[in-house]
Amino acid sequence: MHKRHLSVVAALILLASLVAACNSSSSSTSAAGDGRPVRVAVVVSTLNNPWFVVLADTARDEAVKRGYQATIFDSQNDPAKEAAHFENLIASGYRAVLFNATDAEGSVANALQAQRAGIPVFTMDREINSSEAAVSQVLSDNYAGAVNVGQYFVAQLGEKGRYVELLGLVGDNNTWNRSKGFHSVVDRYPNLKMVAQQSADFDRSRALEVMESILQAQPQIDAVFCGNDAMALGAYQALLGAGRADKVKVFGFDGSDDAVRSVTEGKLAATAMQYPKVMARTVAEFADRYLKGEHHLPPKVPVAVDLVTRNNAARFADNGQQPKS
Amino acid sequence: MRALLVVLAVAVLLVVFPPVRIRPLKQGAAPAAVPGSVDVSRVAEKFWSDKLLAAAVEPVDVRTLMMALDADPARAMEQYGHRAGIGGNAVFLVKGAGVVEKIDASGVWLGVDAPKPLRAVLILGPIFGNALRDSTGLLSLNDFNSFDFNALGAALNRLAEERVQPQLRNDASVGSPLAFLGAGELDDASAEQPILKLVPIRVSRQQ
Repeated sequence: MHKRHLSVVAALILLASLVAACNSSSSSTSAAGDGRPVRVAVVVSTLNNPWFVVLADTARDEAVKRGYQATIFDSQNDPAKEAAHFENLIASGYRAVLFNATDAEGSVANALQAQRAGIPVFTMDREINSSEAAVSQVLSDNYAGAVNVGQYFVAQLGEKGRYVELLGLVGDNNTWNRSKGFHSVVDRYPNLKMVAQQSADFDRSRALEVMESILQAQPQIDAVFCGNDAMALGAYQALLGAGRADKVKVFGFDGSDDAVRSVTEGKLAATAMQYPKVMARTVAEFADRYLKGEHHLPPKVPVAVDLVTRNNAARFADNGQQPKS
Repeated sequence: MRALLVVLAVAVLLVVFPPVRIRPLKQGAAPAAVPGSVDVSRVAEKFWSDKLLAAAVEPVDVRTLMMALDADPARAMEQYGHRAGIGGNAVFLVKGAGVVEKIDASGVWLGVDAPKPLRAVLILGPIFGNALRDSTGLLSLNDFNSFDFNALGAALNRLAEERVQPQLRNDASVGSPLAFLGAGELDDASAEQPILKLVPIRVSRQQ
């Protein structure tokens, strides 16, 4: 009798464990099988740039608002660090990745690794060159935004002048989409001459150094187009130091708060608003929908980029809330 | 008693750490089709002739569009316009006719007889933006890589510059009626006299 009781108890417990196993896989996304919240990783290229801080913080906050536990991982613009983050989050049981890549090609392997581990990846802002490596990619329409900047650039310079271009990270598709968009306009005007083009890695300090060097070789310029606001502010600083800030128009891209303020103050000539908050909230929403069973999400979603000038800068405070439509 | 305690301890472990996890069959992302780089010029040519000129998508009459925008701008943009993604101006594929009011470096300005007075400008000179690419809703970023998608917009613009603008310069004269098919956007639907900025696809002088 004693043995029979034990057998019944063991069978009931085995049944209970099977039920627990089923529940842990189909449970609501707000609770893991062990009762802890589902964890989402926010992997960002760098936190050394305020625009990316907004992107990462917004993604994290939106995920938390939707009932997830979210952690930000800073790749510090280093693909090796990014790879280590992915190893960590895969091993640690994260259920989704909101991803801002360091490199369009180099980051593919990391994202693929997560996808193959059953962890969906959603990219924000920076594209990765693989459709299999992400469920959905929410990307700024950088080319169209740069076309808008280019048209304003041409108008501001009266279709003639000498200018410098500072490029971003050469491994980032954004760098080339912006440059190509800009040149698709500006190169149509033969009296606009590019006298120097150099990468400053999207970094403010680097842009300051690069611009200082360029100014020694090319002191007479009329404008600078920079692939992001951090570089634009660095270039502006260099021009200030050279006593030429009031003679050279500087154009940026991103729509960071400090750049928009600078445009309002008449320092930078213009920038382009990328809506980091819209991108971040959209990927967090997509991750939530995916984890709740909706797997047919758009592979790529472009987000419009709006020109910011002194005439309209007031409506772009706080990193812009929503693209105009 | 000791045996019972052991069984209970094992049981607790099995509940807290189930040895088996049952997952639905379709975990993981479904891979999307991704074309490699395409011959953008060839795609642009084909789209120009097979979709834009052949009216694969029915353009909206300019009067219908203006009435709809006047009544409910958001609904009109949803019904007749297209956007590539989130935000940005809606672009329209529009047909209509008007009288040439002036011709300048920016384009051929038409006065259009619409329920609300409207000016349309058929762009002359360099064409920028993605109205031709996006106005039909037939082309999507999901079918191209981003570089090709951008280049496609530029290639379509070049076709309009090479094939339509010369005829437009030839056919347009102040006071003459002109029929048009174009792609573009409205400058400001709420303005007293909105301006419809159009990339010309086809133009013809009316008798």
